[in-house]
Amino acid sequence: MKNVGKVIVDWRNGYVGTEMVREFHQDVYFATPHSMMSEPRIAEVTNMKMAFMAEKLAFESEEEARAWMETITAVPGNLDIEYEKTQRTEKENNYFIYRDLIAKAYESSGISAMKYIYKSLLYTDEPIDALLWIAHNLAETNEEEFELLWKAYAVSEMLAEEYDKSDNSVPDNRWTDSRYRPYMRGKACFFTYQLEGILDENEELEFTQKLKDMIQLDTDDPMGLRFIIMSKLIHMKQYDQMETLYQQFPDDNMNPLFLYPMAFMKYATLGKEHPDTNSFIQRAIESNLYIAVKPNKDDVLAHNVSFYKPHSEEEAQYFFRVNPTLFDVEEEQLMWLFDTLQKFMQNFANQYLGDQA
Amino acid sequence: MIYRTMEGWFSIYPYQYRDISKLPLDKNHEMIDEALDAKGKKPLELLLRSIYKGDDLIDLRYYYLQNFAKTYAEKMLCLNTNIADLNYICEEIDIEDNETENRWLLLVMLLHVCYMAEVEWTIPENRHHAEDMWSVYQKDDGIVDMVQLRSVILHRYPLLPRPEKLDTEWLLKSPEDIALHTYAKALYYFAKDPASEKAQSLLEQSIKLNPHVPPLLLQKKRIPKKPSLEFDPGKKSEAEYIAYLAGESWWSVEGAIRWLKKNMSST
Repeated sequence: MKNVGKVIVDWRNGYVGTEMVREFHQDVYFATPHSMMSEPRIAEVTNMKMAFMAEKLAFESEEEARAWMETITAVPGNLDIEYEKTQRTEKENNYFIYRDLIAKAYESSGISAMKYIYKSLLYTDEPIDALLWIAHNLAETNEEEFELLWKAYAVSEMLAEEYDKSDNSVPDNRWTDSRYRPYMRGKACFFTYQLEGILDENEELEFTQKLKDMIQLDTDDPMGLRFIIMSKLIHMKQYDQMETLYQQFPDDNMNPLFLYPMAFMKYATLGKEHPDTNSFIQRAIESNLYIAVKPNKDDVLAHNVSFYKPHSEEEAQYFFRVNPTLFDVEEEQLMWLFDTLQKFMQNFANQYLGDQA
Repeated sequence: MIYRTMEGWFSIYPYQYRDISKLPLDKNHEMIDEALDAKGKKPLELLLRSIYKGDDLIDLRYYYLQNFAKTYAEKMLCLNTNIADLNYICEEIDIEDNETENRWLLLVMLLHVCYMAEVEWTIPENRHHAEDMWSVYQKDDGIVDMVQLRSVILHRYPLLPRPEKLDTEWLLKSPEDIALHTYAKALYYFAKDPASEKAQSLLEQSIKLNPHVPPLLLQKKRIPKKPSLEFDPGKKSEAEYIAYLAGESWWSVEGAIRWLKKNMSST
């Protein structure tokens, strides 16, 4: 990486931008919202087992719990030893086997993955993640994919309702509860799938609202549903809601998935000369140059890629998966974007050449 | 007339019974059907994709049982979960309106129970469970006759740890006189009383109905290790199935083999 004053040029990771942005995203890989909603996280089963054991042990003090945690984390195999010692019902045991098999399926591919998924079906009557896997990896027709996702959604909806009734924990922090996560995945996958299809305005509004409601389940939105919502809001020209969503997540003020739609929204509402419009498009370009340079919605990120590096070309490709129609605008607006881009590049070149001299 | 053995019934998948009962097949059944003939990874793909239609995983679990289940625990899991699902579907169905559907469900459930008993049977300490399961279903004549459950149990009667638990009146009520039933009854009466006249007459009748059985029973090595899927009464295929079912029992009842040998030479 080459440091040239205010602007950083990191060709290896495909990054050009200011120091501020670089620091913000240093060595970070982002999981795509699509992967967050369709794949279980690596540590999910481990965390769930730990929570389960801790609940069974019913610690009397925080010190006791901490000491136990230290024992568990000291050596990798300790968790399994402790887990085997913990008393569990057949149903609980089967559920953990199911989740283990699902995790293994996502770590494998081809026939091994299929075998894990198949076996997992023996251990549960709520195979949400298995259904999602089949829908994303095996379904050959739209009908199959829809039906599988619908089944996953229906089971999720029913079980989430039951869970909410039986569980007294804070309902706006559901993602931290690994037991609840499959329900969130099942619902989000179905809504997103619906939104990606051809919908009339009312349906688009309805499913966007359903996604928005899901954010209430975990107000930090660890799945990144807000980016999909943002893309739908600009598509439906719901400008007020876009502003509210943007204000709701201030940490994303350097994220192209927010900035480009916001810049276009400002262009539509305030005009191209307004300082806000200018600020947003400047930051958008800075956050990811590739999006503006090559707005090619056909070159979308392969569906099986789960992570991307901020500011990279992969991020741009993923951007167009979420926002396939954002650049379908009038020529005047595109010219404005390219003019701004040209100015940005000129500014960067001047700075670079000046520093070199 | 060719009969299907109990194991022959087990080789049929639950959805195939729908066909026998003249119930319509759905798209998912067609995919499972295709999977049964496919090779490589195709069967797995088809089976998993078939989930998109239909509300149960009964055939999928049965396929797993037949093709992948290696441990006793896995086999029991497949069967137990299927029985739970079948029970649930039974409750959901309005019996009067769906008589055929209901009959199909009962048949599949019964066969699952029989299979479970078979799985159990292979482990001596679990024979108690086999008795319990069978005793639950022994009252239902119409369906049970189809799989010759009476004979299957009766052939193994001397091996049961708690035979008094079974309804012997039901066990001995044969629907027809074929060697599969008469050999079982002969041994049953002989085990109770070696001097029984009924045992004697039944054995003589059995040898007349199928003379291929005694040579197989008398030589332990000739007793088949695997069951046949169908048999023809009076033919060698029936003898082999009887020997498979009853070989261990004949050798476990004191004097039974000698009695068989004596009768074979006299006939």
